[in-house]
Amino acid sequence: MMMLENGVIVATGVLPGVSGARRPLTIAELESCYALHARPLWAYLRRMSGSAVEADDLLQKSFLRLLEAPLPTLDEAGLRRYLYRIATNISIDSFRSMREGEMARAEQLPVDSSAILRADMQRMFERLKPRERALLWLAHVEGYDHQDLASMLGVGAKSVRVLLFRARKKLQQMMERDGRKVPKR
Amino acid sequence: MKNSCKRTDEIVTSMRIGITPDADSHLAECEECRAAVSAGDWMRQFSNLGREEVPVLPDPRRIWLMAEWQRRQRSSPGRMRLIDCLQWAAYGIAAVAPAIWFTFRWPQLVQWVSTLRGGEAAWISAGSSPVLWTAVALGGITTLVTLQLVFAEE
Repeated sequence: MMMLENGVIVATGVLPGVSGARRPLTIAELESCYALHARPLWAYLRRMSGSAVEADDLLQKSFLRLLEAPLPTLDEAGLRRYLYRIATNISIDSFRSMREGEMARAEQLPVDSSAILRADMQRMFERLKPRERALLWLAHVEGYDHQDLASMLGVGAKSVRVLLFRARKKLQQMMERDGRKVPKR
Repeated sequence: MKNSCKRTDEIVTSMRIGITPDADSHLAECEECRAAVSAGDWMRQFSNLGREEVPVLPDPRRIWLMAEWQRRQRSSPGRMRLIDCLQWAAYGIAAVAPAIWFTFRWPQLVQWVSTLRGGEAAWISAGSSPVLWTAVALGGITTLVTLQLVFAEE
């Protein structure tokens, strides 16, 4: 069960006396949770999918899954992790069911240098596997550690280390091919 | 390059909060950490591009209603089946009622059309009625499909 405490959503467990069930979120609770997490989650899904429309769809599915699934006892950070976990699983499933290169092609053509750079980076990012994209974003943008990443992706912490290493290496190789040299320090 | 450096996470974190001289000297000699830092820089640059993009997010109330609807569908499948049956019965009635009406009112209909168009309506005879029936059936099917889409959307 989630409760609003000082405007912050806190999950506090299942409804007392109702075995194995939980009270569904009220609209107010969902709106509060949405206000906190929807925008950064959308940014993540936008980069993962390369398409704003697809990101909208994945975001909606993620929150729907949050409302449907039995919610473990969570604090705010836990809820955020849980949401990213759901979103990552949904987006990876979604990419699996789509043909390669099918996504993001409906995006508008870039119009300024920033948009062109972003489109180039997006294209490079999309050459990574969905799980590699998720790992790099969650580790470097959201700042999650190996333990969190392991629970989000359903793999062991040691595997995360190896997978992250491979993803970074792959990205580095792409950067080198793309002419972006790895900075020497 | 092997996945061997134990300090990669620490170095990556320190790059985010402010690099220390120790981390800096380690970076000079560790290729793996340089790659990690480079990937981190790239990812942060990538995440910052397009921050000005303001998405119109889906309405959370709509999401909540969808979830509520799905939950009710799951919690009372019998009731949902009944609603489905009623819905299809309504479609059936909508299709059959005009057919019955046409069957019983056919002579009057022919007469009415004849008065509108004079002798030109002679083609609406018993022989040509299959054409009309087909048109009515196709129209009915189109209406049903449209209604189905409208109800599904609602």
